[in-house]
Amino acid sequence: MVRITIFSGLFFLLYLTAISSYSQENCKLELSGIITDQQTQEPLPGATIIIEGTSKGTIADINGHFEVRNLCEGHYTFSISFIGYQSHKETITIEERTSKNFSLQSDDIILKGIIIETERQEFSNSQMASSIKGVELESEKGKSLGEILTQVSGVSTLQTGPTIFKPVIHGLHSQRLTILNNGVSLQGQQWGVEHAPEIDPNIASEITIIKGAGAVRYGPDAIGGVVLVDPPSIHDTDEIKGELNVRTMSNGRVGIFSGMVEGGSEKFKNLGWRVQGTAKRGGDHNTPDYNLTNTGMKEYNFSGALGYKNNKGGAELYISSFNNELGILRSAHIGNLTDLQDAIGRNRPFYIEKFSYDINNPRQEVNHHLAKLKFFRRFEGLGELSATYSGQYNQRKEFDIRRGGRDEKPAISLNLISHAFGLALDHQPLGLISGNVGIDAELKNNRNEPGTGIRPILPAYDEFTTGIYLIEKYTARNWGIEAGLRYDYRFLRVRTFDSNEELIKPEFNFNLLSASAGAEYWINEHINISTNFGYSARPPHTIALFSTGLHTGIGSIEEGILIDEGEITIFPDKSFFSNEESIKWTNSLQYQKENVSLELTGYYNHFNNYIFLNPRDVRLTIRGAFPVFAYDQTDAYFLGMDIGADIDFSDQWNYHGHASFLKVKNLNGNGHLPFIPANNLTNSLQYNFGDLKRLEDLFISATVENVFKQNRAPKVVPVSEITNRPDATAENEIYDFVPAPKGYSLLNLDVGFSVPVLEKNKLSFRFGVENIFNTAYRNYMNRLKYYVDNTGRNFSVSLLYNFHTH
Amino acid sequence: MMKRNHLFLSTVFIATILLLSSCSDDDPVLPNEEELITTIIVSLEPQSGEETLHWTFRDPDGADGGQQPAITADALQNGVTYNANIELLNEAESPAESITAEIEAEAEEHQFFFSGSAIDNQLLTVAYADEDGNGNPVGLEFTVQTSADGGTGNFTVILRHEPDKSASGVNEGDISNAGGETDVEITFAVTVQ
Repeated sequence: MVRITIFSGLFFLLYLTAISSYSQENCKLELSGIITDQQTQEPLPGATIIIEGTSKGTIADINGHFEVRNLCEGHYTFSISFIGYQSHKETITIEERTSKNFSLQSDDIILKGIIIETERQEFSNSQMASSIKGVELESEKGKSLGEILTQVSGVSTLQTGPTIFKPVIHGLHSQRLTILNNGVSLQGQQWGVEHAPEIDPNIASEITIIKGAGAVRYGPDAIGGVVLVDPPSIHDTDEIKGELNVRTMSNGRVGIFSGMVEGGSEKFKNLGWRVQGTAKRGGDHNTPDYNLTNTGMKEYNFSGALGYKNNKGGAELYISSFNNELGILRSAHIGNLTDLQDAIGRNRPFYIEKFSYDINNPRQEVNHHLAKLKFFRRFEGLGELSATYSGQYNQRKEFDIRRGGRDEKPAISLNLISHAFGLALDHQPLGLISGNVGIDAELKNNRNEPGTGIRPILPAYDEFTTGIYLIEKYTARNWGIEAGLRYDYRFLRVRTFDSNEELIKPEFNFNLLSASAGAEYWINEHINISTNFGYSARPPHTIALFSTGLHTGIGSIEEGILIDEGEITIFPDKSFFSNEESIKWTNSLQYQKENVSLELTGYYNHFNNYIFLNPRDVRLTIRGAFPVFAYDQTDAYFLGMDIGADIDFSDQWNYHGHASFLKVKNLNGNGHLPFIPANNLTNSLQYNFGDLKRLEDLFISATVENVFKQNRAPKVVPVSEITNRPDATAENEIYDFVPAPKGYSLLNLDVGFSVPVLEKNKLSFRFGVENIFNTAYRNYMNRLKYYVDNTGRNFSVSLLYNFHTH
Repeated sequence: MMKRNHLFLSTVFIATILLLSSCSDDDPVLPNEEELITTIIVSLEPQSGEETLHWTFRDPDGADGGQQPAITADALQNGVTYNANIELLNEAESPAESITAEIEAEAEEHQFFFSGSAIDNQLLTVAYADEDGNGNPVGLEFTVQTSADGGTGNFTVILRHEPDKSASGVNEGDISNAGGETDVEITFAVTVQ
């Protein structure tokens, strides 16, 4: 069974490689016919017929009738598919107007094939979605999720040194993005700027990014976008297949080993399984001029899946475990503002040692365990119903440089347990209307593990959210519209201490609405335009409400909205804050013709009550002076544009480029919002040798990445002004300690080829150099920009072995 | 078919039970802030044996609180040499916890530095009077010699954790190349009369 929502087949083929061009003699030919159910002879309205490898096609109307127009003379392979039926492919020669009927076999008949599909979630087709898979994904194996996602225009990262990368989509990150691990919404401490997503991208065969509100489908935390990390489908084959990947990188002397094996069962025909694991180890990275002492890392991940399916439905069990330990740059750990001033003033960081794999304090230890159980079943006349349970345990410890032999005691020790339950119905299409409806419930318990000897910055809390959503799409021949609505109820109970050190348990109730509406229109078979409006609201996270205390190591005090001068507001309740609301309007245009594909997206995202950290004042303590940042709310807009192009000049030469521009305006007039990604442009040229003797798909490519200076950065207030005149920031203007670094360009080179091995196996080899000129640069979006440059040249060698056995 | 429905429903029940059971557990307890330094007392005993003077810096609520710290500094006599020692306490605990002992135990990883206008103008002349296990100064004990003329000035005490004691000038009390993290940075307004 292949579930294809009406436009998804057309929509996902954004960057296509060329289809051969045919002589332009007669391109007014047509294929028409009727698509029916093979058993019942009933027509199948909504069935799709597309030309394989393209986005050209159409949908059968209410009578099952279709017409594919504007075909040139030639041979075409058509793929006909419909939900609940097995897809059918047929190659047809078109020399004149042709009439052909197709009939599809219902999935009720047991067939060898896919047991558990990839979690192809239902979402809006008029939203901007981009996919990374196949060669693009393979070439990035071994990198963290944040780094891999930067291939897509409009996506950048917020990094803390060379090992921590958080994805930023259209300027939004952390608690505004939802990352899905095989359909399970990852629940960790995403609010933390140094908290990278706890997911191993090696589990994925495809990563999809939705650059718009995913809130209607995924709830309030997807207000800025969604990243879907999807493992491959589970098959019920007899053979065992898989892949092994080894990669080494010179910068950091990193070694990565990952492997995946999947297969079926000879005894149980409808059963399939998959196991996967990754081990990664690296030491201190380096800039062109010095070592970044204490930036080593260790990571061990594992995932496993078991799937069962018969003619009515099936089940899937999935477990995933992510464990890592990361060193934080030693020189970035500071005591107070005087230390920060000294650090900013240095040309080289204070702590530079010889290369080492040792991970010393300050460091992070993160463990994330996830289990998912899903049942699904198709009901005649109703559609497919699925019920999913998932449980997650996230444990995060941060170790600081402490006195009195306390180095082994974490300074922060947070445990987050989440349970989620979802019921979803992908209903049988009613004519040309398809869609889904569902109910979600989620429970989160956040606790501080005792024994740190430090007052926690995030208090214990319990949060229960339940939501109901409806998404419907109407798809006509060359246009479609959709709309979605969601309501969530959230209950939050926090357990913290008031100014008299008494335990209090403030409670909050939130009613949250999200809505979206969009339309897509195919002007002709080459051009497609779409527009989408989304509205969503989210309450501030508990950290934004109750954060207290000094973040040692970054040398500043961050206080929640309900905290004033270090004390909790006497009656902490909703009157002190508002929900953050986002309204986003996205428009996109895609052009696809022969060897050229272009994509242009423009968006306007307006925020009411946007939550951010605003400098408030300076506090004098026994440790010295510290700036106090308070969580605050403002109105702002994000106006941006993404451009992408892919051109095959010939069979050998290919060009790929993408650029993104973003302008953010703080409407309260107290300065630019911090950490907004700068404009960037990436150009890449590839030469394909094709097959050379035993080497297949030999290629060489060069990529130039340009990141421009962020000219809309907060004004600079040097540390000396802050300490000498604490009133310097009294007007509450947003500031930063250093100016935005200048823009930079990096050149990367890649060479790759593959070699067939034995009968069905393949060994792919890839050699690359990043930052080939060893350029020294600082990245505005790196929290360590105050202390050190970004990494220098990096050589990498990667081997990927794909195998089938029997 | 029936079996499948049972499997389906039992999952729903198990999930519900799990959801409900995770609600109850222990309330959090406010931890002892083990490394908190709330109080610094500099005791200055004249070498002639007269009454000991005190400079104190108290910040009871630490970084979390908005309360301004309380700073007092007894006036010193001109032309006198004092033996000084620094005591660090955590008075958030009852009885007050001595942090001085922790620093003495990790003497190699700590050093006090003294600076400010009072030193630049030679109102006060300071010298280390103690050593760690490697023969490097710590600064829990030091001597202060007041100038013959009186005057006022600022006297800043900085405690660095994990400084590089072998770097140039550090043994003599010059903080420029010391590095490390600042655990204490306080300034007294000093009067010599």
